[in-house]
Amino acid sequence: MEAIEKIKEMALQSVPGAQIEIINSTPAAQQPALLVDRDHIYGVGKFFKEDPRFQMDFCSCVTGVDYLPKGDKPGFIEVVYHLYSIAQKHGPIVLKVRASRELDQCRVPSLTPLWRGCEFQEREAYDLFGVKFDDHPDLRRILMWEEFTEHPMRKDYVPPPDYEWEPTPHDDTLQRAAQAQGIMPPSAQEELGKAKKK
Amino acid sequence: MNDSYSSQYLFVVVFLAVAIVFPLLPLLLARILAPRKPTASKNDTYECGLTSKGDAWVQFRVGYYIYALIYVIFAVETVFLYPWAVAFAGLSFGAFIAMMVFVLLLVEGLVYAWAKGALDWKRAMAVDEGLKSELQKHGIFILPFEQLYNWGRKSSIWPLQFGLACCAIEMIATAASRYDLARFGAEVFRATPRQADLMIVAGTVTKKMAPQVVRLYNQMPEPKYCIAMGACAISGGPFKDGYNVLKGIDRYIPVDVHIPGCPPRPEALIHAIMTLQRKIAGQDLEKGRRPRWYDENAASEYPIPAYGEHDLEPPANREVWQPPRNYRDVTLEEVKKKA
Repeated sequence: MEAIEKIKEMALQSVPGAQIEIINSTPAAQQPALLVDRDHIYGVGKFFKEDPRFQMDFCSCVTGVDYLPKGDKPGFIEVVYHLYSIAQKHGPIVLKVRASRELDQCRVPSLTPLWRGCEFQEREAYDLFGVKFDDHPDLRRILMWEEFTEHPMRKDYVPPPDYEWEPTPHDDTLQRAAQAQGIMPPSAQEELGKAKKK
Repeated sequence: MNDSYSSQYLFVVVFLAVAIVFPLLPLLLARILAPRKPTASKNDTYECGLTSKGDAWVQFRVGYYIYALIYVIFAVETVFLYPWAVAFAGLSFGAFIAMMVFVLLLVEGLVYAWAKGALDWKRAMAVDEGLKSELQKHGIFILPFEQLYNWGRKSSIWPLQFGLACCAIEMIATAASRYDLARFGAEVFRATPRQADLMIVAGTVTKKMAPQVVRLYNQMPEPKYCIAMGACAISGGPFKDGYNVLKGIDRYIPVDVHIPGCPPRPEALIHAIMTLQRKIAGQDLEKGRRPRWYDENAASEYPIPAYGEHDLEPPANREVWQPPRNYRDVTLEEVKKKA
């Protein structure tokens, strides 16, 4: 396959108006990716699938990545697609698209109409990261139960407190345990210790 | 005439003499000719190659003799009563009175033995284990009814056929020919909880799966047992920090045997089955000590957790599971109570 710059040019020629950015990952041995804006990700995907030079007929992986806000930079959720061509035996081309971390604005277009294999993987990304895929035929949770309200692979997810199995609870875990179970808080323990010494 | 008569007897005498001499002669010869070197180990009690313990004498409890004597008395009574009953019509009233006195004496003896508790099999026959196994070698089995009952149940444990994760592969291997769970009578994996005695929770229990596991346990008829197989089933294991993993199935249902391991080898599962068999063998049917399912008022259903917004609700069944406590958890009230 051609160099990533060439691929970007070809995509820009057939999808005018698309904003495509090359993201070189570190270390450089990893695949460079094309970051596409939300409005043109479907068009760019369609181009890679249908263009006879690429024929990317297989989307092997859809996943989400959570980036927390860093200093002034806002955080975002990134959805990554890995495309391969079985017909031409080449790949991958990595497409990335970003969405806001705000749950109600966390939307990207679904690529399931292009690659049917994306269906379950996009459902997984929705389940674990809370990305809503527009035009997805059946966007439901796939791993967690329907009543579950959170998205556990987000970095700010807090699992339900389970201090109970900790063999030696300490610090705030101990405090929470004390509060929840009506157990003696550490301060009261100190008092007890003094009383025992006397 | 006289001569022939005595000569007829002479034959008998000759035969008798031959009959006595013939076996004695080789014995005598052997005694003279054979080398005789008796040693302690040659005179040992047993000939199995192992060090002998004790001698061939088995001490029976006095209780057995009481039983034997009582039995003999009543057997003799029957011997007396039978001809008496046959000739009953022709006998006088005096004979009837005499027989009644005889019967009454025996009844008195029986009542006495009963009152003394000699007929209470369990108390009179509290046989020690050594004697029991000694008797078993002679083909005599002494056991109370519940042992027979427990023996039957422990030898035909039917596990419920379901696996949750990689531990199930080891469970399948255990049931297959190489490890052959059939040796323990537990090879009949049932595909329905209604026919199963044992639930082997083989693998990670996700929170999404936990209600189904509890429901299956509820559907099993009593008596029922549970083996938690592997690190995940007993505690969450390597996934215990996971948002979707139940930290041990014993939070919702009572577990009889826990097996650690990731996954445990088939030998470990066999060990767990044998541990369970020992547990079943030790179960008492007497009131107060018997298992929970003989209690009319004990609940036989365990609440099925519901899918909540953040976690299963409730996160644990406090009736069967309490968080492990350490010394720091002791409340002031408890300390005061003890003091």
